[in-house]
Amino acid sequence: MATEEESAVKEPLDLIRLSLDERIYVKLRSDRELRGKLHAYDQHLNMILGDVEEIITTVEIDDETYEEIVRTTRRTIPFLFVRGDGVILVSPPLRST
Amino acid sequence: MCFKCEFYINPENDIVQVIGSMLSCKELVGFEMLFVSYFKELVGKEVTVELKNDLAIRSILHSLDQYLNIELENIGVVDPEKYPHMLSIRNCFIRESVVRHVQLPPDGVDIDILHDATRREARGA
Amino acid sequence: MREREARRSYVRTRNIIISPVLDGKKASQRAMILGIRHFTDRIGEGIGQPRFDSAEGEELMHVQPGVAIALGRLLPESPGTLYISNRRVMWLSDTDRDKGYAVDFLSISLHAVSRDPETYPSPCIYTQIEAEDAKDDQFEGSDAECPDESYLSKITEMRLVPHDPNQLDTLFDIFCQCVELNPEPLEGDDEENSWIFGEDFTDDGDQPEWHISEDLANPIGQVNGNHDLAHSVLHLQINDQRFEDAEEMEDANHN
Repeated sequence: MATEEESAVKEPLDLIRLSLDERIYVKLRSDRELRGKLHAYDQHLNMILGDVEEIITTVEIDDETYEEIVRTTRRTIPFLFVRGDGVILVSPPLRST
Repeated sequence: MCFKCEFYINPENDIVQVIGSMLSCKELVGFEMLFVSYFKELVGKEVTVELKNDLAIRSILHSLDQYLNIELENIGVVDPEKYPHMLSIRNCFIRESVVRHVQLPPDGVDIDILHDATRREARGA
Repeated sequence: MREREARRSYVRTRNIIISPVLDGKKASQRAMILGIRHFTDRIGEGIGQPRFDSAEGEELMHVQPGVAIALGRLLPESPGTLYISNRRVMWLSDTDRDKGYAVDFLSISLHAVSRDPETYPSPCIYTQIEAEDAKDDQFEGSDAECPDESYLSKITEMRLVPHDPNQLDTLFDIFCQCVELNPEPLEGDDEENSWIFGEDFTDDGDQPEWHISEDLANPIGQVNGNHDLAHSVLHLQINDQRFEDAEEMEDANHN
């Protein structure tokens, strides 16, 4: 399908180009994670994801025991634009090379 | 100036103006306009803008500029606990840099057109 | 150029891309301009007017007399005059030359016209301000007469109440115009090269948790419980002799 030139990975963003229309994992600031199908991106890593699962992790300290209580909230979003400046990490799907 | 999508840059102030649909215009390569043109097609539709301070605003997308600053109208549901004052507001203007993400209408733009526009932008960038 | 070559040679099998700009770095670049501050730099006789930074291209866009200002939950202060330049909003007391506030458009996150008397007694321009420490936005000041700098820097809401409510739409439009004149300062290295490749961690026996992209059904909450993925990756790279450009990541890692 893709020509050799198109599938070559030279720059970090090439990896993302090859992930178009595939499910990726995105870690955002403020302990948020997203998984969704990549439908669009630009060089700032602004992205549009489809069928997104968002996971928000919050850590609270118990008043009495001082133990950390980790809570995760999940929600699904059909279609989502993500601003690139909040992106910490992007993981394309694992592929055999 | 591209005649297909009626896109041009005003030489006096460098402001990009678009009249037609440019997301599917093949002349536009590497202008960093992918998301601006995408959002232009969503004007009039309902979106939920979530800010980095966790405030979420569900509203009609009224307009946006070349930096993706967003103007919303007919604000519906917000997070009243954190910013009770937001309930009284119908229209507001949001600075692009404070946006975390925007929930979009799934029927907004054809996925294939979006993929093609993304590949064109990636080649030009 | 040598750096770029070094990075390219580093490319082998990898499946993670990491942002070059983490919170602290950006915050420190912008620390000088965030939030509301006192403004007393007036020129001219009598009550005077604000001194603009014309050397830096600051120009007056609009003057609106008869405006009260309400910062956070403090009571409104008046009478005053609103000066809007292409860079910032300034409110100057009409009676006290030493009283005034300024906020850069870069710090104004959101602005709107508010006309609902139930949430605020007078129609106003409502703004949200990006403050230095937004976590303290519930902070309540005790000294309404003269909020100190540390209080000002925590304020996340500002209301501007013009005596003539018919001016609200004009002010709203001027604010829109001015926000557009103040895009985010460009981050120095905006090249795609500044994104960092991660190693393909699936070969690393010590890090079995890295298989995040292999199995998308894997509950990610467990993977990330108290494990900071990004920092661990950065550490791995910094310790890697083959990577010549570790300095930038050192910076990023000091957050």
